[in-house]
Amino acid sequence: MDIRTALKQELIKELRLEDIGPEDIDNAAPLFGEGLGLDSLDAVELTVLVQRRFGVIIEDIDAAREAFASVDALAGYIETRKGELPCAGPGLSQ
Amino acid sequence: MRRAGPVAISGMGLVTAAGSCLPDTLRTLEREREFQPTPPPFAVAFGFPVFRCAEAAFGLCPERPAGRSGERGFTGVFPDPAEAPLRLSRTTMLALCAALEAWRSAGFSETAEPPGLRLGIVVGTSVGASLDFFPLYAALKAGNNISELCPERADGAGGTNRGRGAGSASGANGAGGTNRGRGAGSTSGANGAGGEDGPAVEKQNLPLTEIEDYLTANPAQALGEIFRCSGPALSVADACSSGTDAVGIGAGWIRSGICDLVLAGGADALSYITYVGFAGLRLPSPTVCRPFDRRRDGLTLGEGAGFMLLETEASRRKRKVKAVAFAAGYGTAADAHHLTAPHPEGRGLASAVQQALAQAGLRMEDMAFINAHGTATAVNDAAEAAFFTTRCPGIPVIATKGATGHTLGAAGAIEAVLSAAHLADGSLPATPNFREPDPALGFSPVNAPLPVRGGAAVSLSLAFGGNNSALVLTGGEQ
Amino acid sequence: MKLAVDGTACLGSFGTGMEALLRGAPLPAVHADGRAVAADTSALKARLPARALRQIDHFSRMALLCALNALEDAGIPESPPRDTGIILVSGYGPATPTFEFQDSILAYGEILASPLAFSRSVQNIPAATLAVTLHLVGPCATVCRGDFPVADGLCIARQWLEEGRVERVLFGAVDEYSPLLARLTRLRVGMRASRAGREGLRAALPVSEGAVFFCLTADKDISAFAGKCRRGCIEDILFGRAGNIDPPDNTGVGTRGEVPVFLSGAVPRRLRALPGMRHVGHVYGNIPIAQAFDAISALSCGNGLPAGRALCLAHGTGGRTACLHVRQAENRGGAS
Repeated sequence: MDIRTALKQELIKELRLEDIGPEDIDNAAPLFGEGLGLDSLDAVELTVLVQRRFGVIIEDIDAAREAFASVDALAGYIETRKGELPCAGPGLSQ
Repeated sequence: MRRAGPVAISGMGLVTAAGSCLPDTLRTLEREREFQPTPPPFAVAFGFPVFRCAEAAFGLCPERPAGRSGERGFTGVFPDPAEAPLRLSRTTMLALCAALEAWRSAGFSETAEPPGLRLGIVVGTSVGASLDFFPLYAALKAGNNISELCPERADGAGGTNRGRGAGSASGANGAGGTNRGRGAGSTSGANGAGGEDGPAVEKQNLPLTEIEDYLTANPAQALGEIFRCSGPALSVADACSSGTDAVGIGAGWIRSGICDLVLAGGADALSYITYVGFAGLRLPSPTVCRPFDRRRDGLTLGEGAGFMLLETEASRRKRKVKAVAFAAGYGTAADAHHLTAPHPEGRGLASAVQQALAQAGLRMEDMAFINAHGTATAVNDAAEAAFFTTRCPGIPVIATKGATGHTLGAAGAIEAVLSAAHLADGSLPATPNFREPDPALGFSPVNAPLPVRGGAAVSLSLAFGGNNSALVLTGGEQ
Repeated sequence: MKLAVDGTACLGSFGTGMEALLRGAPLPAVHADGRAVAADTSALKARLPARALRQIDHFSRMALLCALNALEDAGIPESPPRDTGIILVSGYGPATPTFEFQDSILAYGEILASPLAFSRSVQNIPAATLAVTLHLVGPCATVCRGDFPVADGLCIARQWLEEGRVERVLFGAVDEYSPLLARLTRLRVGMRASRAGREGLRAALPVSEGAVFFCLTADKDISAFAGKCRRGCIEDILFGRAGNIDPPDNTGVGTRGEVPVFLSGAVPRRLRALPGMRHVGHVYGNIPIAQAFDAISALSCGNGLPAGRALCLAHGTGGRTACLHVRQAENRGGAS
């Protein structure tokens, strides 16, 4: 499954975006504020979801603000960092 | 909000990481500037340090029977053994220690409601009101068949202790004990929920007494039983403003005549669940909290309890007891803005302070100092600083969580006690752990001992969920 | 000072509204997964946008729907006056989010546990949700005790109104079902019964969930309020210790049945048999907020109360009691 689809699955399931499917989420639309309307608490949850699903750690949410701009932006962030994955340890295995 | 008469505080008690009783904590605050937290008392994958209360803090607890080795218990204290929990949670013990200090310093020697007087209990808490007995939960999820378990055994051996091990998971330190039964960190991933393989969850023979403890961990109920009070006994679960709210509610009971005496305060023990939750929210500092400091980078969790004995004038006069201080006003208001972030302009905070001042019949200019919430998170301190610079310019601000940690449900009560004590002492210590002002905040807290000018102070709490609470305290009788 | 009840609402395992409660159908036995007891909150979807409901869990949904219904019953628009306080009382608070957070620790480990689940489990989040959704910026308190939180919480409501802190209190009592909590509660009730040699009233009841809300104002000058005590009033709140089998004197309870007494909690068996004692628990189930269901039943049961008055007496652990003195509205219109 490609990263964008996987991300949208996580968003819908874990952030309880009921009544919508992955096809309803525009990859370029804002995630926070308008668009999906996520907030700061969702941002923290999203970092955990990204680490769980892709093994990519987002250390500083503020510094990674651009990554949260849209599904495209976050997918790009994950793609560049996936290669730098430390050796899998507890919590990172799938 | 109508003006109302002040409510006398005839005794106070305090248990914090900085001292096992009120005089201890006050002396430590005078003597020390830097306070170092310690590693958490349970095995956990995060490294954020915490402020723990020393075991000596429990010295005031009466009649610890020799009983089962390694356990603390109060089986002798409850009048009806059939109704008594067999052990008290750490949160309840903290509450009891601080409450007893307040009770005894007010001149009572019997740990019971005095004849002819009506006692009420109100305890602010977060851990004490929540179902976070994790080792038990984990074991139950792993499929232990508790219908086959026998009830507590007459010999008190085996069943009651099995599976808790050193630093036991329940009662004695309540902080989640050892790693046993959690499988966390070591077997996480899909299997972590406790399959047969891996060190996941050790099957435990859980006695029903643990279940009883789990469901009766409410500290107000326990204190209500211990003191045999005939008035209300409730726990306030308003997250970080619980302690402040408890004192405000207790003062209201005195004014309206529901009670002659109220033990009002807050208590919270360090909790594994709370710790993991806060860590996941990225709130704690990896080193130590520095409220309002330029390099602040998060809060430090702590544990403790603070209690005040509030009393009617009639009862006080009859007993010929002086008031240590007075609870003059209380205010509380919701931001109704966001569930975890405070209102950017401090709308709820301003409303709460205005209510408290109105009830006390005082103005902000009359305040000798403010005890801030001051958790040392970027967001909280900025919100409070904005409030101080716009609404309270020139009034000294102290933040004490650098010495006590953020004690959640206990914080507001601990800080109310400290504020009343500082008024009584006539001086403020330096703000613990504060070193360097943050120019972005536009103000600095007190960073050297300061004489207190004036007889009133306000203590603030800002809570998760956007609740804001304020107490106005005034000086006692000399 | 009496508390005027301007509006009421309830929902729970039994259904929604006073008609369902007064119909008196006993709760069925519960399936292992609790399906039989889930309160229906689907009506919220028609009243709030999906986005607003997204992060609101079942406990908070019960609170929110019941609060909206109570405000509607009181004739108050959905954005209530600013000087309205919120008090939420519960036996165990939002149990499901608490267990969900612990589940996420077990499933993913500490580092990858869900921060969102933790924040939903914080005890005062349901009350804060009411404040945010209804735009209420007044006092907001959450009270918790396992046996009878209702009376204690009502003391706070009365106090706020007496002090002039608020003009109106939105008072809610909520508890939710969780299979684990139900299992533990049943075990504890059984254990306590065998240890104490007696069985309380709750022992035979299925563990349930539900919410009761009251819109309260101060009954000092009823004519000042358009509602005029529409649903009745709570005249007094008394606490005591039951030293023996008969109700303590300070509850004003006679044993000759002049004023009906609704019983809940750990009621001694012999007390149940006295004349005038009523028990509605078989309809709403074993739930810490039982006393609130009794109060709303008493207020709404029309001509079921001879003098329009009743006592709602809750027995807690350790022999403590809490008693509400309830009086129906003048016209005794009954259920809405």
